Amino acid sequence: MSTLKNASDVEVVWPLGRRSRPAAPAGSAPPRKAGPIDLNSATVAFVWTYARKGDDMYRIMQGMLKGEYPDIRFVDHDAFGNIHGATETEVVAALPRLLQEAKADVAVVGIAG
Amino acid sequence: MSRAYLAAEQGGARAVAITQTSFMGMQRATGKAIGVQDIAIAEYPGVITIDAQDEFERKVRENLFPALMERLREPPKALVKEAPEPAPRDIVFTGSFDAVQEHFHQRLWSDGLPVVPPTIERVERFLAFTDRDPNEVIGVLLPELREATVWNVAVNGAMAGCRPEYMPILVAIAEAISDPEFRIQDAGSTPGWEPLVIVSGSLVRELEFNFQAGAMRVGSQANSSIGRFLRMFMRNVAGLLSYPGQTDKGTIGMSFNVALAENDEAVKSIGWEPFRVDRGFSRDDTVVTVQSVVAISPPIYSGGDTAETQLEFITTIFGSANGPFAFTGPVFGHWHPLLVMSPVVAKVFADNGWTKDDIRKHLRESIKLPARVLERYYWHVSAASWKLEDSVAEGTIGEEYVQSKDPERLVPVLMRADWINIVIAGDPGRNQSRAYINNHEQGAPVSRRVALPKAWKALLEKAKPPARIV
Repeated sequence: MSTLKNASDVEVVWPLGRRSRPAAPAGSAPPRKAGPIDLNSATVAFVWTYARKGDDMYRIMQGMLKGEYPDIRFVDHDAFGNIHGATETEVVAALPRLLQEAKADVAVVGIAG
Repeated sequence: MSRAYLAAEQGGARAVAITQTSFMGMQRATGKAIGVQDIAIAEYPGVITIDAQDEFERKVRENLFPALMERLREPPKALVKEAPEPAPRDIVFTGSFDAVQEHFHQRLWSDGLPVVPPTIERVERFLAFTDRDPNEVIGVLLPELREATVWNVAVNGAMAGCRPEYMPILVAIAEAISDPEFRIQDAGSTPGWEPLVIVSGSLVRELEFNFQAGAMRVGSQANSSIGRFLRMFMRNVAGLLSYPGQTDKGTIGMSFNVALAENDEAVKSIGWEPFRVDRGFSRDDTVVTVQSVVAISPPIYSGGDTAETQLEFITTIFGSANGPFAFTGPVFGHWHPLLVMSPVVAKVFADNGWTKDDIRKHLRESIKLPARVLERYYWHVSAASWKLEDSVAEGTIGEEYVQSKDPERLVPVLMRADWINIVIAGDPGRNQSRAYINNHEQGAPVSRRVALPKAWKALLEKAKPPARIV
């Protein structure tokens, strides 16, 4: 039904498109339980764009985490590869599997900038 | 980054994104677009690439680390709950021309210029120029993950001021940018690249593209409105919004390119193959190619009646337009510069027996930079180190880049001769070229054949614009 009130009015349509999010890839982990993470028994993975001093940054963070949580474990960025380079698509596609295999509780993903 | 974040969560880990201050808005917007309601961010305050090392380390200890710990104490973020959105034929607004403009500007559905109101009647005039189902999904475009359909191609074409008969070209453009090879998700990256549409084939004449003087200026309806359409489509459907806190992080950016049309007659007259044949299509096709442009050279004037004199400054200026940013070629495995050459320049080469491949080979072999320059520029862009040998190890470039360890050794700027594209356009009466440099794997050239409706000739005859009054 027309909604026109004046002769010069026009009715217009939406210029966007329907959102279409892909389903989670096969083998994805089940949703995590809510609640705090016990970092003392946690495995923390570091995922990197290979830019903006992430290697330096992660080294400092690991030192500070280890100082507070002596039994914490780390998985370094080279276990995953560069998430912003020639092999980005493959590296990101492999992340869920590699993180599950590493039993990672936390993934620090950087660096946007 | 946001895709890696989501992948980490799919791997069962609590993800935290490390983000410089000015990228937090983009992170939230891209995270929301792919399904994370409120991405967990630990902020690095400021700009890493300009902070002294001691300042950097202080910020990591005093700002970033506490933010990381805070994020880890928070409950996990929820997935986005979808709000209902309009169906294609829903009327989303009714009002005057001016009121429509306000409505669209307010919602960032416009490029800042007035739009042609997309009424159903106008959209249907576009759809008459394709035999395809309006609801056909051409692709799903990142970062917003929205469907590009025949319908919303027509809507955005109408808004951009296209004529309905451009619809076959617009659909081919949507197909090209939907190809994963194009990597539209990277069109908001900091270099601020802009897409360029290249049209090669008989539709250049039929649709009255300008391929002569001022070919790359705003001014001709086909070139201008089709160029505008692509930017509009990338805003509205891909969701690449150049607005503070949104998904487009081009640091300075560029304005949209008008569509570049090849001068078919000039190419034919010198015995070269047209661009569409270079791209693997038939001479009988009309082909649309879309690529990124991150830099445009100054005009390259080239004189003389030999190929050698022509190349003196084509080599120099084409080379400098590529410049140190060409390090991104080896890093990302792509580098596709375009040389647009006026017909008389091409004719000198052809008269001297040179082919486009001969020019490509010369440019590839002649344009070099010291290895130190490429490696050093990587540091300026990213505050990290990279060596050409890293890319040799990854297989994106060959051993010729590491013949010695001398940082001053000269290495090729152009990765492959067959990745240099050449298009003939511009004033037939002037000896000039320009370089259009693509942004490595981001916006690598993708081509599609333009499919015409069965009744094309009759439809076009009815739609023909009145003759220009000049």
